[in-house]
Amino acid sequence: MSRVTAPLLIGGALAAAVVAAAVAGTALPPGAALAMHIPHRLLPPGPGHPFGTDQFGRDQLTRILVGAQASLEVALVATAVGLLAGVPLGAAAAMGGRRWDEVLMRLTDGMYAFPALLLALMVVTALGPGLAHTALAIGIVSAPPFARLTRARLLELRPLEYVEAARASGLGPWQVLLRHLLPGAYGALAVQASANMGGAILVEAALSYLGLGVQPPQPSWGGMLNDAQGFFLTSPWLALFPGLAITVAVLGFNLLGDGLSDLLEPRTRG
Amino acid sequence: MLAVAALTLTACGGSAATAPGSTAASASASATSPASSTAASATSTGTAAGARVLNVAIAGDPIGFDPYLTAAANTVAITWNIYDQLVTVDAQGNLKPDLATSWSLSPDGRTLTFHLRSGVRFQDGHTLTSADVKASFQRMLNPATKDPDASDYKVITAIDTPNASTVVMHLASYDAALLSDLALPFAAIEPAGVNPSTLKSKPDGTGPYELASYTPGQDVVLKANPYYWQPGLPHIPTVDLKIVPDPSTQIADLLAGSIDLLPGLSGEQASQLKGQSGVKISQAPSGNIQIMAINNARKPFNDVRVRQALSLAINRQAVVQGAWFGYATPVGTFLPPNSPYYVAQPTPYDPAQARKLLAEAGYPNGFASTIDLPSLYPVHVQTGQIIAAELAKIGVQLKLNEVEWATWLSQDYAKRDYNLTVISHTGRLDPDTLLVRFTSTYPYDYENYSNPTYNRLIAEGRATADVAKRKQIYAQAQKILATDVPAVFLDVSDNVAAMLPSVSGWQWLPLAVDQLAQVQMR
Repeated sequence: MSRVTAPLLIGGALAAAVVAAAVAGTALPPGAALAMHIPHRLLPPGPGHPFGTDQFGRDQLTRILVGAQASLEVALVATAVGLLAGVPLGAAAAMGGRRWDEVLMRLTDGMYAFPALLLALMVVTALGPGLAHTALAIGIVSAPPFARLTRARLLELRPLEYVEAARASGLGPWQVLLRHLLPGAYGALAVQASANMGGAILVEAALSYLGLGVQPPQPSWGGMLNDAQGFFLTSPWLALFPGLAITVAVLGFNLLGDGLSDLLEPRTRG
Repeated sequence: MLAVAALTLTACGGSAATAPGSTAASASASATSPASSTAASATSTGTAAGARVLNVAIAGDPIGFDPYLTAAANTVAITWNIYDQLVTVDAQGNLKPDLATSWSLSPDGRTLTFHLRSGVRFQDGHTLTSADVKASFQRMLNPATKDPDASDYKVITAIDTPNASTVVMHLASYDAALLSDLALPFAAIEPAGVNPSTLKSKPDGTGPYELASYTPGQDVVLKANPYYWQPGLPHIPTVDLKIVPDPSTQIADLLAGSIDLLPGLSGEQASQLKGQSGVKISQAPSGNIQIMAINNARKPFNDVRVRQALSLAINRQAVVQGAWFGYATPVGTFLPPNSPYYVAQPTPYDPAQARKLLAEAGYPNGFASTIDLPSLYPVHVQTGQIIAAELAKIGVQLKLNEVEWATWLSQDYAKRDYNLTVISHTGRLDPDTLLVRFTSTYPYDYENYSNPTYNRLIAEGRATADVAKRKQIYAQAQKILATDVPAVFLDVSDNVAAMLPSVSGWQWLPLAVDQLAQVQMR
């Protein structure tokens, strides 16, 4: 039933490219992304500066590579926070009886009522700007879908025969949950995690664009877009490359999620 | 570009019937037929359909229209056109008559007499008399009014009005700065007998324009004052000041022709418009001095060697190019070069000497600190980034804190809770208005700088009438600032305005105001 599809291959390749960019960024000398050379500012793409330079003469390629680290860090931490908070919540809702289910699901409904970006904005406004707070904010926003997904999967699996059999063989509720129920949700969670990476990168870019995410002078794709805004008439490449980077990363992780879905969860597709 | 302009203009032609054709024509054919387009505008002198509207972009909402209730530059830039003062200035900063045709100072320097212009009428139709002038200053100096600029005029103790056209000001002591302070927009003459609480929304002045309407977040519409005393002015019957906060949109609007005039461009914007066909740029040095303020009371900045090191390690050319795009001049003192009292101070860029001074002060490896940057002003944020990169070279690691404007005003400026920050101070006319900021008795000496010699010099300067002697005093004061480095003086920016070729007559004054009465359109 499982099949390797085009979205899996393309998404995997794009996501791998983003990871490779971030790794390449770590190999650069420290401070390379901050080094200003004002006489060389606003150079168009060309030899020496394949992506051109910004208004302080900083190399755009270097900043995109270093910015990839920030994007990936935020996306990974946010997805981990989402998983760590969402899965136990979902499990508690599914296993804890009707009252818990009601309370927890109404709570997630409440969080769903806010658009993700708005909710993340409120969290960052409350905590203060910065990389760690951005990751935490996006993680909090990411938790409800994981909780929903976990709960749905567990409720679906619980009446199945193999679970009944495990219970009948004398396993306690925790052992049933950890050994027999949760593994059945791994595939769906992996798909959601990949899609969540893409969403997190987008929200991080938006927050950094608004000046609430990664703080200058540290590079971030959203921050670079904001800087580029004043120059789109004369130096459009300043917006083009960070925009492309965001597109590639978001598209990559979303396609990867789709591909993983085909691979791991074939029956959920029509 | 022209095709785009014509297209956009057609789309919004409904609001100004004659606009599309005439603007497009002037952009393309200004060289060939200036005469015909001038003739066209001469017929439209403010009545009915043919009236041409000057569309101006401004960045934000004014804070009311009462110059006594605000120190905000964007507000007085507008009220300047609604109100007059007793005196005014020309482009070179020389005082000239406004509502007063002449004035004289008593030999002891403590009585200032003004003779008012006759036949001046307020926008509500009543004639200006000495009672209006007296009521204005009484209201301004009344503590209940809470005028943030009143301290500049506190030397006025009483006002007599011997007749309807004479005003006599009694002064506590001679004040060399008073007359030029009276030319500032903060010394506008308001009508007597009007409930002052209405002036914030319904201004009533003697200036060339009156307020026609104000829609918050959208626009301020001014129309010509029919009673204005200067014959032939203003040239344009209606001015629409449109609120366009986004700098890129401002430029796009100008290129599309929906905006005729864009005063107050940043260097970044100006660099984008430079060389664009169909746009004129008007540029003049401003009196705005950008500084890196230093909290002199905090370690390690209480050591003069550390402050000197900071000044030596910042390449001002990098700031002028990187943040202002060349639209600024480096300075080493707290007066602009266009002030007659300016004495150039050296601004060497010498990181090696800076490192040596830091080592002498006990910081051979530098230190870490923070710099607050008001996020409302992108140019200060950019300057802060450049400073951080420059100081990193001598081991001073700065963490950048972007702060909201209201936070900056309360935390950095009022409570003096900061290490370093970047800000500009507006030069007014008299050198005292800037230099007094570094006296320890000044309420907003937020650098916590204290030097009794400097305090004494500034007090002396304000009490000295002889210009040559004043120049000597301020030369000494500037030398002290350059040596003590209570702040790193960075640059004086240029005022830049951009306009369509059809707009002429724009002139920068050495004040942060937009002077609209002289502007003309073809």
